[in-house]
Amino acid sequence: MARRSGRSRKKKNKNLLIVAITAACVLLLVFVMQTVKSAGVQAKPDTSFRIADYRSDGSRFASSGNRYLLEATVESIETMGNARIVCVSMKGQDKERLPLLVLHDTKLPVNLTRNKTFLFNVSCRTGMDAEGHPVKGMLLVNDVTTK
Amino acid sequence: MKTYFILSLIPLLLGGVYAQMPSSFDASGRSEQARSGAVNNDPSRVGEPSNPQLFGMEMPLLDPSNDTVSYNGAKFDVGNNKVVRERFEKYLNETPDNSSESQRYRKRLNEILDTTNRYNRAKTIGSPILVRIGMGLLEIGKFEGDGGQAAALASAMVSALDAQRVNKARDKQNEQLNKDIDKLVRETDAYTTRNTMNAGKGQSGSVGKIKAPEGGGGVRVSHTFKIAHNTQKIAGKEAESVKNQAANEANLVMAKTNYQALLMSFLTQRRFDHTVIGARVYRHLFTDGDTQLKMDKESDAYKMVTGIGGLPPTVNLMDTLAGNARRDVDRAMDAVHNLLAQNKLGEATERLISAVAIGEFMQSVSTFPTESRRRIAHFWTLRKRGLSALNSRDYETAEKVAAEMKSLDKDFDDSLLRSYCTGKKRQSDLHIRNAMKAFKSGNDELFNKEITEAGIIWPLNPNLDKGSEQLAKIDNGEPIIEEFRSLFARKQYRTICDEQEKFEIVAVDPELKKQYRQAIEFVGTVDAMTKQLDALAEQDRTMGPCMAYEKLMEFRKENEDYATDPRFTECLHRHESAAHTFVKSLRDAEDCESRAEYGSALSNYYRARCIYPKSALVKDGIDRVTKVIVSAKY
Repeated sequence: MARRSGRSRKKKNKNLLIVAITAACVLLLVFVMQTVKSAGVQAKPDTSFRIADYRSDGSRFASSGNRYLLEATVESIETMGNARIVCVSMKGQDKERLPLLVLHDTKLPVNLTRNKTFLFNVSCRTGMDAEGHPVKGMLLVNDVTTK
Repeated sequence: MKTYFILSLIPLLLGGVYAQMPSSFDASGRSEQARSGAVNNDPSRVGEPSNPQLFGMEMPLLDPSNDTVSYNGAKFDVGNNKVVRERFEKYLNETPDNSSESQRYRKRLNEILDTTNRYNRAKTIGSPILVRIGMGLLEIGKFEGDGGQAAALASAMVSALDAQRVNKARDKQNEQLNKDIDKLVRETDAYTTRNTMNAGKGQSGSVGKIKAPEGGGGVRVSHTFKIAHNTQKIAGKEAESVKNQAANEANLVMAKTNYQALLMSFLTQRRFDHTVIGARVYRHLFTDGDTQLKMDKESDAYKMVTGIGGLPPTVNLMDTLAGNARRDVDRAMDAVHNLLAQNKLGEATERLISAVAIGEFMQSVSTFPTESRRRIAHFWTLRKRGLSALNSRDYETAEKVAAEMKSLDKDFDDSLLRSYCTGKKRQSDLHIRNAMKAFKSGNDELFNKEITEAGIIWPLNPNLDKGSEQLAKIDNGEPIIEEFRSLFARKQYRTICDEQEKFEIVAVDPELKKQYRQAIEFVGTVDAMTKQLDALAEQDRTMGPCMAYEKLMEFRKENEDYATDPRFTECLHRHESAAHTFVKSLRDAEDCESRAEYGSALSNYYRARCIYPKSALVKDGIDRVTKVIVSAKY
């Protein structure tokens, strides 16, 4: 009984150690992932985004999780004052066009040029005009990375 | 020159006589006009010299400045005179007289003329020359074209000669009477002497046998009765002689008068060759040297031939007149040939009329070629048609005829005719215009007056017919006008256009006319527009329908009436169907815009722009939505 107890104690300590190491590794991994994510490390684009759905009801995208990473090609850029509206197309949706708003205070790390494909980190927002009327379902560009 | 004018009137004069005889003259030769005194009572002729009278009629006076003649109180164009015209037309339609018989006739006639020229010494009665002339005249008198005139002249010559013969017989009888008288006178003288001697021996001059004195131993005869008898015989013979002389005088005057009348007849009939022959033979027939015309000095024929220089009329003067006429006709015919060679049909026709009027029976006139006659006849027919059209106030026909005459003869002066016709047509149209104004203002009296004036001036004015049709339509068109008003109020312009002939009558009302025109123009615009858009859409089947749809929408926005037109609507639907993706994107964009879904709206506009990049509607939408998006705060 005693011999089984001594070996059992050692075995028990060893398991605890493995669990602890595993937990530490998991924690480390989570930490690293979180760190990478927060540090802007390239993430996988959202391929489920359908422009046709956006066309029919854009404000829906504002309520169901408002951030998207879109891989899109710049078709045209219209500058209105300090803001810009970038018209993009997405792969597999050639006949659709998506307007993205780049506000004047948004600093982009890359220069947007036509016919180039970028990864757009966008968020869907509802704004307000000068008279207080809503401006629903606008996709604001938060960040852009070169693919 | 005056001779020419006088002679040119002869056919007219004759024509007037022939033409008016059946209706205007009675047996006494007085015209109805003369009986009624209408000519002299014409107030317009006060102060004008009256025409000389001939055979109870006025002699026509020619005004050479404009070829008009004053006749029986009227003035008319010689070329437009019915009688002259008919004779001239008859002449133009005759074939030239070139038969062998005719040539033989002319040859013999010329020979006779030559004979009268050559043998100008006085001939005795029965001389071979006169016989030859007479025989020649009898021969050519058988020719149909001569009309027996030569035979009549020959007959007159024979009559004159017969009269001369009778006079000669009477002269011989008088000579015998004179001899008898002389003999009787001598006898009577002898008886008287014897009676005187017996009386001296104591015998009384009693009548009858008496006893001789006793110492004388015999019976002495008294001659008293013989003397008385002779004296009676002498008186009788002298009376017979005087009677013969008077008969001779009367016979001579009668023979001359008859002969001169025949010559005058030839002259008035324009038988100038016969006149010349007769005049030249005259002095061979009447050898007393008296050629003065035995005519009443108050007669018109006498005045007609006395007018030349105031000289007494003679047979020689008739010879001169006829000779001048022959020369003038030949010259006129030369001129006709020359003018025809230059294609101057107008002048050639005028010259030919003159030549035919004066010398219809002249050789140069009667042998005028057929082809030339046809050319002039055609021009003459046109002239007649023109005058007829003018008389009937058919100015369009007159202008056409004038143009045709001008095409035939470049020198033909049609300016007067054309300006006259144009003036009359405009005058008539002006009255019609005034009538329409009066009609629109409801002034029926003025309307009737103006329409009547227009019709009087130009009866065949086509605008009168149109006006009549319009008036008839208006009379029956009140329901149509109401229907038009209803259709226009419901903006059913296409129905109006489809039945535009029916609704034409509304044009009489200025306001309705404006509406009618508006409806027609509207439909015309729609048809042209849809046709053009269809053609463009056909060229590019991708963007074409989008463009057509957008244009149609644009037009509909500008004028809502387009939406009422079935063809416009049909076209819009057709192109909308063809461009359904584009249209849906636009409509979705507008829908999103109305729901403040500006992002979605912009996406829809972008999608529409992908289909039709030149779309103005899309551009407007993008500009509008972008402005809202950019100005908003997030």
